[in-house]
Amino acid sequence: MNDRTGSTSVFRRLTEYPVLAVLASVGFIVWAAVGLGSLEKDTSLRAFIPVDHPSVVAEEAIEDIFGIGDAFAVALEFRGNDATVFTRDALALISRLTEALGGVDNIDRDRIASIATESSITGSQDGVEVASYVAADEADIDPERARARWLAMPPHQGTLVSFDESSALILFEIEDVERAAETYAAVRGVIDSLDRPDVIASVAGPAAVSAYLSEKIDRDARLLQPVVFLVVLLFVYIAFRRVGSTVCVLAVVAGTAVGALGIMSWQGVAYYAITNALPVILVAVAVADAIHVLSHYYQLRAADPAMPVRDAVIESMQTMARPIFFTSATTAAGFCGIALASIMPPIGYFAWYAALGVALAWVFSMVTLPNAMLLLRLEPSPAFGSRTVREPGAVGKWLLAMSALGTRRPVAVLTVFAAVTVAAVYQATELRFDRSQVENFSPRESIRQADAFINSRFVGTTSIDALIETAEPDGVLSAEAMSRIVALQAFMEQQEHVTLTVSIADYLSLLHAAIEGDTADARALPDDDDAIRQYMFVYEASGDPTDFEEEIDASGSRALVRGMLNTVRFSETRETVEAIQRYVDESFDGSLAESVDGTALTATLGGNANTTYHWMTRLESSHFRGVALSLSMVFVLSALVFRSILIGLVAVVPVAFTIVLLYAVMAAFDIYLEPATSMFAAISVGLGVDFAIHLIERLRRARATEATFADAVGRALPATGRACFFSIVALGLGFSVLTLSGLPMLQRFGGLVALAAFASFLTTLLVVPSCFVLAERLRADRADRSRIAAGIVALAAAVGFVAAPTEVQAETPTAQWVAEQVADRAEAPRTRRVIDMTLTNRRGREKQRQAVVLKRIDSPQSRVTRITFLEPRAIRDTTFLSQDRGAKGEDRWLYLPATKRVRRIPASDRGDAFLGTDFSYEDIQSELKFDLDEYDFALVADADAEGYTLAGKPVSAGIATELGFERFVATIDAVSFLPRRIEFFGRDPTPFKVVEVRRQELIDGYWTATEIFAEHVRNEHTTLFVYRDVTYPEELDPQHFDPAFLERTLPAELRIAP
Amino acid sequence: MTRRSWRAGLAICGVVVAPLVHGAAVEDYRLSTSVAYAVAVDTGQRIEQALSVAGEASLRVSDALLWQVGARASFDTALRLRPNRDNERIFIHAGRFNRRVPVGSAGDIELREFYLEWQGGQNRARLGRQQIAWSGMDGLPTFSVNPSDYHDFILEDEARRRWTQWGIYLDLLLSGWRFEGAAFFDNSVHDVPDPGSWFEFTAPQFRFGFAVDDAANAVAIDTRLPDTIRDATYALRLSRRFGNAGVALVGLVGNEHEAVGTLETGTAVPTLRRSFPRRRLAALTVDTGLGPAVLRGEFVVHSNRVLNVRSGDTLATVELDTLTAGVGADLSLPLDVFANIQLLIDRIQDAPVGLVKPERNDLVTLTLRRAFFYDTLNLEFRWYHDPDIGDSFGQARVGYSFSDSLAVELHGAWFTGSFEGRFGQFADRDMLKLAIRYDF
Repeated sequence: MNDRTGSTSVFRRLTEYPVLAVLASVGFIVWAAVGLGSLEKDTSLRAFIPVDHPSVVAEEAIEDIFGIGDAFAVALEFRGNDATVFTRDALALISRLTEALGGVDNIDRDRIASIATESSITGSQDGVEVASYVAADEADIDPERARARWLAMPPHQGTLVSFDESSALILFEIEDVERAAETYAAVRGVIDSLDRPDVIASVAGPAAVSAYLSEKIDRDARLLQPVVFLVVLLFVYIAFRRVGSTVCVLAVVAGTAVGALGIMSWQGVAYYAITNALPVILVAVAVADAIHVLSHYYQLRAADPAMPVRDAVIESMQTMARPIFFTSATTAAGFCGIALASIMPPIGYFAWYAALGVALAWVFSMVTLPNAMLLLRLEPSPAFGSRTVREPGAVGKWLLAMSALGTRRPVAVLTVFAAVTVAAVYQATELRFDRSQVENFSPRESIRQADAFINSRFVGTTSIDALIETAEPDGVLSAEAMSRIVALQAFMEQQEHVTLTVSIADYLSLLHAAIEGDTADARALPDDDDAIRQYMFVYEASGDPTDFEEEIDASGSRALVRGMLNTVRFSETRETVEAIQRYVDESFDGSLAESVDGTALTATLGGNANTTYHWMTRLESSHFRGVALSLSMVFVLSALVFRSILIGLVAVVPVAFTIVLLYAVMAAFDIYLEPATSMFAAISVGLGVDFAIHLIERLRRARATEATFADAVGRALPATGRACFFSIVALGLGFSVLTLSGLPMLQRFGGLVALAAFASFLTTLLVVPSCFVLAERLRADRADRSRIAAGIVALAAAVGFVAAPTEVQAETPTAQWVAEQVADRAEAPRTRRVIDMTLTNRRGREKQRQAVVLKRIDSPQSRVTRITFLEPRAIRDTTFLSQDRGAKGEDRWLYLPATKRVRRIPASDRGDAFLGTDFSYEDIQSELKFDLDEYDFALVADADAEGYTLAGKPVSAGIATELGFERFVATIDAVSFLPRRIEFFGRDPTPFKVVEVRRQELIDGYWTATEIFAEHVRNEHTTLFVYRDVTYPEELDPQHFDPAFLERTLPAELRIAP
Repeated sequence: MTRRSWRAGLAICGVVVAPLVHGAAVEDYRLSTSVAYAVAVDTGQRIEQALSVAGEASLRVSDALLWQVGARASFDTALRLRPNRDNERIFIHAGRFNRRVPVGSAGDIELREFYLEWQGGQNRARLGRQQIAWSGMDGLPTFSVNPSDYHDFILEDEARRRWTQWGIYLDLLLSGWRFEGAAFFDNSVHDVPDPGSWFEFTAPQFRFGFAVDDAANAVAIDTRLPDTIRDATYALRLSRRFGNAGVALVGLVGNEHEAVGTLETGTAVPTLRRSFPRRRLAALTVDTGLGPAVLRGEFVVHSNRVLNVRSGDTLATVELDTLTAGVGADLSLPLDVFANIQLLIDRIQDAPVGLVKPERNDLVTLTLRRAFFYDTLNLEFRWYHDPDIGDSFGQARVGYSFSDSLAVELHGAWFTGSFEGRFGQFADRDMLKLAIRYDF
């Protein structure tokens, strides 16, 4: 009673100044809308991988150094009997078309390549001849000579001209990626004007696919999303038959969607490809909240038309405040779960702003909506007639009939539901992770056909690159480096789908063959460094010195090996990328090459196949975890707000089922999981929770006055069910509009969202009442309890059996699995942070330290840490440098400003105190990870809300001595896999040291412990590390990690917080 | 303070203040004070009662330019460690632009650092008063570029003992090789203790072969200091890291820091003519790490080094090659004990009879260090032993830090062996010293 009185008072105050409240809301919407103007789009693939991820860094380096980016490709297929590119007419056509494309605005004339622009290398009387295939003057074109030269140039076979000689490619790059779609249209215009029936011209290539897809999505989304919105509003109008109510819903929807997107824009967060789904979810949530309030209002007005508007509004708000708060909280928790588990920035942002949108929807429903209702003085709705809550209308009757199934035969309904769930889980196990951008187009689209054509006739449109680096100028122009490049190419070419590799070694071997009169197909090269460098000189003297700018940089220290693949699917390129990565790790591990002047050769993979690989594997590792965490948070919050674990479980069932059903449908229709489709799970959370929470809340209230749950359902369902029905139908129909799009991607999106809406509604309608009635029966009839319990156990076993082979099961928490998750926790390759250290002794006396920490991880075997003290003044600039080379040991240096000397210091045991703190060197350098080879692990207890409890014991006495402890027990966070608490034990049963991660944050996609506390129990001494200004820069200057440079002051931007 | 000292002080202040006026920012500053009290163990005589104030500041002139200024003032009311304040010391020779400025009779101010540093990319340069330390050995370097102050005998703080000199220093990195070059236009030489001071060198090897009570001490002294420009010191260091090992080659041409003398007896009063001849040395230094051990090796060749030969009343010079080698290891021992062990071998080739310096001057050193209670209590023990002469030096230190600012230290030094040895000469000068340091 007090609560109701209190909330009445709150809503009376909130609605005291309706004009002011509405104006403030409009002001907020306008402010947010202004922000939308500066919303930046980033629909690139790379956006899904943190900017400092090695694959992105390598890709950008390749673009910077070699000027290679994703290309457009114009394919020319010459039809007819014995059609060949090598005719004067065909070569002249290619030449003219190349020239015409060079004149298209935004095409980089310097980055256009075809058989008309490229040269071949052959031996001549003078030594080497580098000459064009196609003469400038059409009359001088010699097709036979061109063909002979082409046959002698393996790098150009399958790239410029198809292997069967019937087709040619013109490859080009564009200057401004933002204008890619416009350029695509211009290129289409050029080739459409060819007017040659014997030539089929088409445009494809990764850049064209991206550009065209982006344009199509934009176009369809701009056209269809407003239609979706209008359909939703139309249905709201039909539901209430009052324009005013539609305006009210519009206000809440606008405040939610525009507000969340506007704030996102003001905060500088880009609009990613998957952000397209955000307005959808926000509209769904906002519409549902508004419809519930309006439904209750109209019911009140229908029951008592004379009731003052203000009283009806306040009564409605008072009744709906609690369930709307619950639904908002559970939905937001679900999104937070997805955000916390996501390691891909766009998905993280998506979920955070969805959670923000849910919060905004709640605020607008609680503040703007009642004030708007007051201002508009909503009249009673004819749709509600004079019915009372106890006299349901047609929809209410239909809903009651549906739920009557559950209340009358709960066991039967739940059994059928379980059987459907088992079938869905079984089908869902077929779901796979995959990606092929071009498959977002209809098979009838010319770009998709062109892509398939190029992949079948030519070397393919997918690339995998290896960036070979040395520190020495001309380092790659050595016999040793060349032999390793040739070996890498040979390995790459053995891999499935790799059709061709090209590197500087190919051209140098051609030069070698030309000069020595040898055959060129064996990539034979001299074993003399000078000879190789002379070949380069010879070419530069004979041909265009810029011809090799895509293969080697000007300094000769970096070279590119490019491999082409004839498939674009992640599932098909995955093993190839992994095999090449393994080869590169083993063969280009930075070890010294004897004949490269002691220079280390390293290789980093790039190319769109590699980017896709990292994109997809990150999704694989985080998607199910995110869904599980999201459901867990929905469960925990539901259990908390209803103070019942059983109700928490019931609330989560419709959402969980909807997600499983979506997976099953996707698997059945061969819709694979990729970043865009992975959003369906989030949408399901947004749609699925609401109705369950509303229904449960109403049922609990109704049960207080009704004799049984079956009666309570009869009382609660018509009102709640009707509101939910209209919101679900509105959304379901609205999003069905998207199936009218020409893009399979949007069709899938619209269809699956509609499916999720209806599935969650029906599941709630059937399952929630069944669960309550069954629970009540169980309480009443103890005899049934064991039978039903046995049934539930059998059902659970069946579900478990079916689900057993799935990917999710692979993450069953064994000790080893948990330890592996901890060990595999992503670490940024470059880190910069400031530590505030507080050391407190047993008397409470504190010492403060402040240091800037730079970290560089080049491989698991190469971790370099630099710690430069900033405070106190007496030790300022004292610098500690550690180069941990894994099994090869560790080197340390210390710079003391007072002595002006950098001194190498011995590496102490890993268990020794780290710079006079309670942390050990192992604690700091391992970043709280456990080396899988050094411990035997055991799970002490099952996972609980705190996470996993993992025990570890060093595998040998030697390692125990080195580490300084006999065993540890750690509580591992189930989301981040950061230890929350580690207890270190000696021989005593009580720990001698405890380390606690008191705060962890997800920064740039990396879980980061930002507050760590260590206590030495025996010494009663503690150390607190607070990390701040944590950044993960793309690169840190290697000189900061060079002992020779320790005496130099760090640049201000690294010392001071940015 | 003399007028010239005032002028120099004003000029230095002007150079510091001018950038500040023009927008330079104080990037860093430190001020440290210490109070020391030392007594002789044998007699209980007070030998030091000193207040020392050291300050330094870095002024950021621009992104690439930095002014570094440091000075130290010492006030010793016991005046046993450095009794004379008249700049007319018999055995010391600070360069003209490098002298301490006396403050009354009990103290002096010494400019420690005063240089402009430019840093651009991987390269940097310094112009002004500075020091460089290229020998990596602990306590007793195998070679030094700058001269040292020996008033306090062996201080663990080499940077404090080393003189700074006026010069230019370049540090370039090219293709993994580090080139360092320095030129010092400064005729400062070792600052050795005055007669009567606590650590006065009494061994003949440091006194041109004369004993303290030798009648031949009654001589006129004529000192010829090196010329600032003509006798400038040039040093070059080339270093690189090869895998786990750091290797450096050093070449140096400059003046000796320790005087050699000739005795002219033709006049009424014999005249000891002292000079600081040129020296040429080449050195190779190597260091590497093997887990809990760091190993160092240094090999230094002095070519045609000028040394004194004494025969009766005759004091002459002879040019001889000398070889100095040092090997050392830093060890991280169990129980968190740090140990440093070194062997230094010093040989004079083809030494003639009457050579003032010992032909063999080897040294074994051991340092043990352990910190307790989170670096609050620090214990250190040093032991230096000359196996040829058999004399030794030992030092024990106990330090306690009350806070980051306040620390107290007690240390005792004792010496044993022949009075002719480098440690034995102080055999009657064991001491105990208490120092309190406070950093602002």
